[in-house]
Amino acid sequence: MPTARTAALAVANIVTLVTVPVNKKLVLDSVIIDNQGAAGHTIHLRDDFTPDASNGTPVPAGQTIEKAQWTVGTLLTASIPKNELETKEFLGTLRCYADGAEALCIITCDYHFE
Amino acid sequence: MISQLSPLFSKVSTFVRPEDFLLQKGQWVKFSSAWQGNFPENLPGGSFIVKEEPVLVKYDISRIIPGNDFVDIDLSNQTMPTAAGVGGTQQLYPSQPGVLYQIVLGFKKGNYFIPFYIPGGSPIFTLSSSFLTSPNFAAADGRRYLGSKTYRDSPEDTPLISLYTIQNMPSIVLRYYADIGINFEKIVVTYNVNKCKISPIQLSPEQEERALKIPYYTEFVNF
Repeated sequence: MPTARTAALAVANIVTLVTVPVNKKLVLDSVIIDNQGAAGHTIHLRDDFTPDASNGTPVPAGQTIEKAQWTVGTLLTASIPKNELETKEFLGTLRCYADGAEALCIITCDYHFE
Repeated sequence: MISQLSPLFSKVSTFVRPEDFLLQKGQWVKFSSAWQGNFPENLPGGSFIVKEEPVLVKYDISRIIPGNDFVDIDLSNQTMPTAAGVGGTQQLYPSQPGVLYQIVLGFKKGNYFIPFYIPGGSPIFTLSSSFLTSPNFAAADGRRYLGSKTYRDSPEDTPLISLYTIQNMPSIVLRYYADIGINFEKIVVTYNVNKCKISPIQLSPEQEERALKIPYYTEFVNF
């Protein structure tokens, strides 16, 4: 099972965790947020993609879809259960950002493609 | 041009697998007499044998589209796309005579439905009443989904819908329609193309009964 990992970074330095193959969707299996920083942080997962031309939108614009967020206090670890993740599908690019940079707050995502 | 096995086949706990329904070397096919058009003279009503081992080629066509919107996927060779894959049609027909493509469709799970059109603009799976001659995508009732297929009809791991294509056939158009109530959907259909070289063969009436019948799209409508 593939894994993507990053430290918490602000949205201006948003991290691309996974680029989803064109013929698949990404489904998260687990998310662990280990916050050893001095303050709590809110972690966001976002799906970025550009839709294909369609009947109603012949020239589509890029989309940024907020998919999940969790707030983790200082010196705490949050482990998000699979049943809360399995309905979250990512179509284009899985990206991660936080409310502020924190090198000691590590986000680890396990995922698979369907 | 189209056949669909009963979904029960995907649940049969015997040694039969969906792969067993792919055409193999030595099998016979018989085109109905309705195959009228720019085809070889011996095609309408003709019987053919798969003369060599077929070759299976898998090809995915995916689109990300907004909810309650659609894109038409034309499987013919009518218009070549650009080198970047922009525009044009999908090029899934044979480009030479004597070749039959059996295309087995595998739909990935998602919130979408797919009406079929042959040629483009003419729906195939409709009824005779003037109320139900075409799906009505603006309707709030079942007419919206009239004749459409979903991933349950031909799942990716047990595909049950087959298309049969030859050179110069009219366009088969699959309308990838993302359902209402969702933001965006990535619709992915796997086209498992079983490439068969075929040659004419004379069959007895009993042998013709055992050949795979390939109807023309005109036999699906007007009744």
